[in-house]
Amino acid sequence: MRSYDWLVLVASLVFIVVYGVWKGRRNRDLDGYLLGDRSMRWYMVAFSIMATQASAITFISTPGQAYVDGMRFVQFYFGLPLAMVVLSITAVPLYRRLKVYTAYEYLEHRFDVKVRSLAALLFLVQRGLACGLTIYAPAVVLSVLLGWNLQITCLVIGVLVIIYTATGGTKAVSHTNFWQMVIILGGLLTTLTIAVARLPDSVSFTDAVYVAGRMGRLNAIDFSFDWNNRYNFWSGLIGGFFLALSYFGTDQSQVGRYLSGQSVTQSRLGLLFNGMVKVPMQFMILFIGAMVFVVHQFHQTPVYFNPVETQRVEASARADEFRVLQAEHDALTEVKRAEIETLLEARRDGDPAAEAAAAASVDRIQAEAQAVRDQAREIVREVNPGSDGNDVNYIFLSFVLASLPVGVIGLVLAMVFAGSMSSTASELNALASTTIVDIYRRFWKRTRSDRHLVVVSKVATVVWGALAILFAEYANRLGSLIEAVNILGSLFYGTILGIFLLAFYVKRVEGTAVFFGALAGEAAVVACFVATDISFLWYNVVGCLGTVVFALVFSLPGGLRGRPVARSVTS
Amino acid sequence: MRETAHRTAPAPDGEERPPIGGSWRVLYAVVIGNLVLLIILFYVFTRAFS
Repeated sequence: MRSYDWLVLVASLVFIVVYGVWKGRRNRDLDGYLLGDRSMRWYMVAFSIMATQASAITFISTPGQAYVDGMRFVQFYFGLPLAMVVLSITAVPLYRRLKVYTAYEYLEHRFDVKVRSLAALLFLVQRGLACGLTIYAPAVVLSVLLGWNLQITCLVIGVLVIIYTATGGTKAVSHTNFWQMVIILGGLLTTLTIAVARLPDSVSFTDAVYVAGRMGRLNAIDFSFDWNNRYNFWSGLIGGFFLALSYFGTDQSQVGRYLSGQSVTQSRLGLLFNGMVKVPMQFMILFIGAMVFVVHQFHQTPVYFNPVETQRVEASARADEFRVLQAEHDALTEVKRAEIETLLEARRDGDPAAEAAAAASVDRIQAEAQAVRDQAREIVREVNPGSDGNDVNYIFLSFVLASLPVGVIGLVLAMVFAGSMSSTASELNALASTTIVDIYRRFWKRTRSDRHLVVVSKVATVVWGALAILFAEYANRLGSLIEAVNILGSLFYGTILGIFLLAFYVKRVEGTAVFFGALAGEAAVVACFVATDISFLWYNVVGCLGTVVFALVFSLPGGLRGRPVARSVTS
Repeated sequence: MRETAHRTAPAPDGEERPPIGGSWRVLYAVVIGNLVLLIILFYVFTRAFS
């Protein structure tokens, strides 16, 4: 990194922290601190929702995912727009009408305190762990590629977020989210432009798209149904719908964003805008990965993208073997490059026979190169049994550091920090809200003043931030980080969603039946996780349906009895 | 960015009207239509380049 990169990065970080502290300086009551005085316009709500979901993991891991596996990951987001519509119709007016601080507060209105507490607890466990990953993900990649100290990087990200989130609460989070999203979009568009510009002069943009497609990197849609296929149209539409419904409808880090909207209209518009632009945005991020893949077809690349693991192998007894693999990979890249140029020439000449022959040759060489990469990964795993041999998370930033000009590298790193900080800030804000509203105020200090609760909320933010940093220091060996976070979320989201679906749509069900139904639903998810190989997206369906079915069974005559439902809030 | 007061005219049924589109149903249809369009485009994209 050059001094201009440092300048861009540090200026961005200082701006975010100072701006956040300044925007949140006038919080006097709990409404102001936890809900930003419900004053946000739709575009602030929308950008805040998007920035909260789009963590640094999104920008680090997603292009790498397209690089190694193609663009089929985009299908994961197909259920999201439908979820935005459903939530705009149901959850938004309901939460607004009850004037709740958290989604779980509503569950006590509808059922009883134990259902509220169970949902809040599931959220605190799941989000508390995920918050640590949100900090760790960019820190580990940056520390490996730039030689930064991992502990200090985690500490810097965590402390910067804690400063403005604890000081300014929801206002600080929403306003900084807006500018973080601006930085992120700027960084993405710049990277895409430069990735295309890095193609050889003889390769046009349409040539690059053609090559990416012929090499299997533009497989955006797969309609085949397979329970074990992680990303296809059906798992994305159905599983993704349940996951998005649960994440945006019941996860306080998102509910808190649209509860800060000025009105039902502003909150709805924010959600619907997210439903419109999220899928194209993910498509663009994956497309960047596909373009980086094409650029790498014309340049020599490492056989394994994690430089720390590579150095470890080079210092081991397997060093010579690894060097041979790197040499083989380099040779294959040269041959492949020539064959790709032949392929493009045949296409330009309109010679289908030559085109098919060259394409077959490219496929064969690509398979050989992949086999060499697999052997290198195996050596990495054998030299360091602690490593999973997965270098997906290092591909994109390796390209950035090797290929982008001075200043732009700083912008991309600012984008990564912005992604991490925006998600972490929303998560800390939500963890503090749930801790104070659903636990502290509900069970211990029901009559304390707003001033006292604001102070305790700030303390809770700091404590959750410290725990997240602590967890980040110990997180490791998680494979592709974006998948790890999504798998972790899917273990709990289905159950929480089942509870909320019962609350919204089933009037004749009582708190005790829902409580035990949720426990049984969660047990079913854990059983699937431990004993089956089904794609993690289906955990959301299993947890949700399990909770609903068990709760309904427990509600049958002769089943579990709880206190009668005092009032219905669904009418 | 300064927040400004914003009022939206209520619809006859007491629900606020969206600022564009006339009714919420229209906006929901636009979001779902956008998704369908994207899926079709992605399908064409996949078929054209794979």
